[in-house]
Amino acid sequence: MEKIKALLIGFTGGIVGGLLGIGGAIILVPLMVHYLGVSQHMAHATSLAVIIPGAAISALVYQGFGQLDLGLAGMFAVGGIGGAYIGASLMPYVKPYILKRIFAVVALSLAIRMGVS
Amino acid sequence: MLIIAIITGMVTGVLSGLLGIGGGAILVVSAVVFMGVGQHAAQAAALVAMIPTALVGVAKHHRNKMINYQVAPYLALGLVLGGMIGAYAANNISDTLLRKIFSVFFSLMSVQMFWTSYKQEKLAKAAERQAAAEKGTK
Repeated sequence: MEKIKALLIGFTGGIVGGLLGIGGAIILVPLMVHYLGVSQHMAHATSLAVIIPGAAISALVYQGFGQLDLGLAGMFAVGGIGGAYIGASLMPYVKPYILKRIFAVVALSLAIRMGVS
Repeated sequence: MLIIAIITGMVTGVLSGLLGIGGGAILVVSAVVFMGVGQHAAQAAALVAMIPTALVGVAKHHRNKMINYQVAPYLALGLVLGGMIGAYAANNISDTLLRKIFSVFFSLMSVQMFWTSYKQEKLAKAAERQAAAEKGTK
């Protein structure tokens, strides 16, 4: 039963992730905590591992439709890894909830701009 | 273009590290809004770009024994099947429609973030008070 639940959770995360070009952790983590009884921390760690094959397959499909620019992806990745280190070292100096609130407002305005343009 | 892409990746990395949210969505938004990349191409690049970053994190979590290997294979299988279907669906709808769907998703995500920031603040303040109280009794 747990296996079927895990399969269905992965499937749901995969559809959303492939459709929107995101990892799908935002879907996986709450579902894993709620339906599989996994701790929040472990759900985060495990979701990070399982999104890798999902993202790879989805990217291959996009590649099949001629949408994948590997150069762009590579530059994002290089910057992303550097940024993750900077982010981790800044952690003790910022209040994450204040940053999150500011970012949420910026994100909403960007989302609206994307939707109406 | 090259510099903008690297900076975009960096800003995304910093934010996702600090906020505990996936970088994929922010990458898509940055590529579409600031770099003028098409919705499909932005999503494809974000999918590939998250793989190396995720691998770095996974190595750390594996050492800390935080990965649940009992459920991981089934989740991964589900993700592979769902990921194919989702990606096929995305490539069969127009750029405009896909962008609108994405924007609805991103709006919901930002509202949810705004909401959780208050819960987080409450927890952080409670922890601070407790630490102060413990200091006082010593």
